Amino acid sequence: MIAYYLSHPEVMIDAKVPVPEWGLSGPGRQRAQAFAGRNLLPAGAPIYTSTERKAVELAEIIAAANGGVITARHEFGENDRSSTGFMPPDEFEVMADRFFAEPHASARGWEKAIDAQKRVTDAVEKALAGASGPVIFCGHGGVGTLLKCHVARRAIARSEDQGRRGARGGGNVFVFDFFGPALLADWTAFEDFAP
Amino acid sequence: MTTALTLSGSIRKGSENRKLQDHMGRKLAAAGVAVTALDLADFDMPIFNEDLEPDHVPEAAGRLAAMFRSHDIVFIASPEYNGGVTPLMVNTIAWLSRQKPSPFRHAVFGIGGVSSGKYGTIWALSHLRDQLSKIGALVVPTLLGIGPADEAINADGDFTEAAIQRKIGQMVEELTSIRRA
Repeated sequence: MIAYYLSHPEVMIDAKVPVPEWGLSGPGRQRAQAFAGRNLLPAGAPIYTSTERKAVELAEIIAAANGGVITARHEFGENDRSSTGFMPPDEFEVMADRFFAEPHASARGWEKAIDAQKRVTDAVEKALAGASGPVIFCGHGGVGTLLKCHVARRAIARSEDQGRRGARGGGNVFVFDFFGPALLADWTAFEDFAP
Repeated sequence: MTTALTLSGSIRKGSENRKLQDHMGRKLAAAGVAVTALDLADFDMPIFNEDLEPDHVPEAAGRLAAMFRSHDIVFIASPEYNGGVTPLMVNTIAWLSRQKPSPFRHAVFGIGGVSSGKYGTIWALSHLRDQLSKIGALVVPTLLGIGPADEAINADGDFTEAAIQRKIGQMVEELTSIRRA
């Protein structure tokens, strides 16, 4: 069964607002709308998203185009980084490198990559078990990459991250067959995606 | 793009009210609304107590309040416990009512419920309507009390009785046509 994993595009960063409440930025919203407007995703396919605002907003833009109903669950959320909160980009990049390089370790209290991978793959498996056709997931670059590594049977590595293969700021798609398992298309920018 | 949240005052497996939540979600989506189904199990909050403020307000209260503020429609499926609403529902509303700005003054609200008895949650819905109205929510008028559950829901989780279908259609019409200024 084919499934599509979409990472949210650019967000409105506000250090005073909790990260889960960040919404899409103007350019991010435009990219999502342009992608949805190409109607590349199956009509009526159910959509699963994390409960984070930026992912829900992406899911709603997709749903407005394909007519699918969205189910939001916490277990699809990005790796838990609440121990450090918002970090400036340079500092964040160092931490992200550690997150992928040491998947069995918790860097400064971040959720371990191996735990986040199990959480998201369990959630995806549960969603797909009850599905009768294609399914769309809207989520995040970190856990998306961990899911991709699982279905592609690849080791967790920063080189698998969306920014190294698709658009750097998010707004990418990969396609997979969870039960194969098989990666059918690697991270690809919204603008370059063609099923 | 009109957006909606749906949620249920029951988080148990196989909840009839979750079926109503999902059914309403499908009907709203068919009317062109982008519908997001929430599960209150994802919004863990301790029993409300003013002593927890301001230092121990659950993060989930702020997160759920932000979602209420950013959606046009909220549909709540509420079970009936002892003639009232569930502890989960009461606690959720208590925490949300303490969030600023109010999460109840943007969306239009619809309420409904399913019970095992023939009175179909009408007491619970009356309490819920009073409570939501008291805190500033605009609740559409249709009374969507459904029961007994075992006669009302088919194997696909749909509510097929003509009178219920008519009320659901009426509520969808209200939710998609009424807007707050």
